[in-house]
Amino acid sequence: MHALRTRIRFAQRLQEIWQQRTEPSGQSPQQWRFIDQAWNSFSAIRNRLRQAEDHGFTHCLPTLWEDCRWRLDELARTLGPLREAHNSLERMPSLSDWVQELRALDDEFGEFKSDIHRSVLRVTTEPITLEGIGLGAFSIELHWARIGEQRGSHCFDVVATEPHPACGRDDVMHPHVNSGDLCAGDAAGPIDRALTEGRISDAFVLIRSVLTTYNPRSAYVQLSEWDGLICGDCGRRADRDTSSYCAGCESDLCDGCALCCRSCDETRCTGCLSPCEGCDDDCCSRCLEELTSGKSVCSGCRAICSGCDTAVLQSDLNDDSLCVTCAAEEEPTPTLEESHAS
Amino acid sequence: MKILFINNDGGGFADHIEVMDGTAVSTLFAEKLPTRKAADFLIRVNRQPAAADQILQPGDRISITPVKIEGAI
Repeated sequence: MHALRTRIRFAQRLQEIWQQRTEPSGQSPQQWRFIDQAWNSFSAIRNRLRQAEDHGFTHCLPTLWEDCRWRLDELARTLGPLREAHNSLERMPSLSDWVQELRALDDEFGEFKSDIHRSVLRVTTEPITLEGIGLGAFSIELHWARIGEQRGSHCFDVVATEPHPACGRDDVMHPHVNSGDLCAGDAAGPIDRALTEGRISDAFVLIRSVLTTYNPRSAYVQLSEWDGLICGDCGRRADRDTSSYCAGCESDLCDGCALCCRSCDETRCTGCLSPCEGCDDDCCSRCLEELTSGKSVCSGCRAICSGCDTAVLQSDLNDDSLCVTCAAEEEPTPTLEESHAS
Repeated sequence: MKILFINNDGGGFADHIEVMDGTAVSTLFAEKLPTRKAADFLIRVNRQPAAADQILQPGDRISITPVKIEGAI
């Protein structure tokens, strides 16, 4: 818990920042110019309407009434943001409010930390576990230099203090946080309003509520795949329970990419299989043997010539288990008479 | 009497509202969020935890913040 003096000093700082940076949009000259223009347009139509009624120009009255309604709608649209801005002004916190906000932060999160050089106000959550997966604690950092320039949750960074990123995504430390950016979903509006009105403890608590909730329909990485693996073949994330690995290069494989050698039945990836040049079945390199002919064949397509003991393609052996060369040598040499006769 | 009511559910608005004298925190919650359960919210009166039967006082600041909010991408 911070000492009161520390809180007051920091509260003064925050009050100055909010006063400088949250100038309501209704106070801008452009906003007033829009309102003036809308009012002048409406007044001009109203005058024409009055003149038309005075002179009995009834044929143009419907068009003028329509125009008048349209100008009134336009005026109402420009007044809305101004009214909203003044609502925010009424709720701009006092120094006492700021001190209490900081006290509330201490109460909710332990102790807030401030880094004046980085313009950061930071609290840390308890370790967060979603669906049985420990994601560790998160620092929620309010970058006050962004106030007035960015909106709502974009003024905050969410930083994992004990990072447990999703498999294959070092930038995703939480299903709803990407590179430190929280995608606040349903909390976006309330965080924006809380920040605008200086209710920073509410904004921090809202962010914590998002961090402690899992929305499987809209997550950067599903928690079911958080501790999975990346398939070495297709590059997709895969569930560890249904995956396997290539016995050749030892890369992880998803269910769809796990193939097997037709010869030895071991699991292999696409890159570790080659077709046998005898039967065309995919086999691993261990099961393929290169013959003297240069062909790589599996054990089923390989045979030993009984003449020269050389490994050859099964289909190249004759009925006497002789290769083409040996078979030629075994053939009887024709006699001189046979040669003349032929 | 008038109190500041901050509802961080939905749009997240803060407004001064009139409540009857002697209104308890649970009564106000039931009135403002009739379909919701108090257990799903962090309820603070003047930024402090509040009991369900705590009676609201004039000028109190009551905030209701959901403890579970679905994020997105």
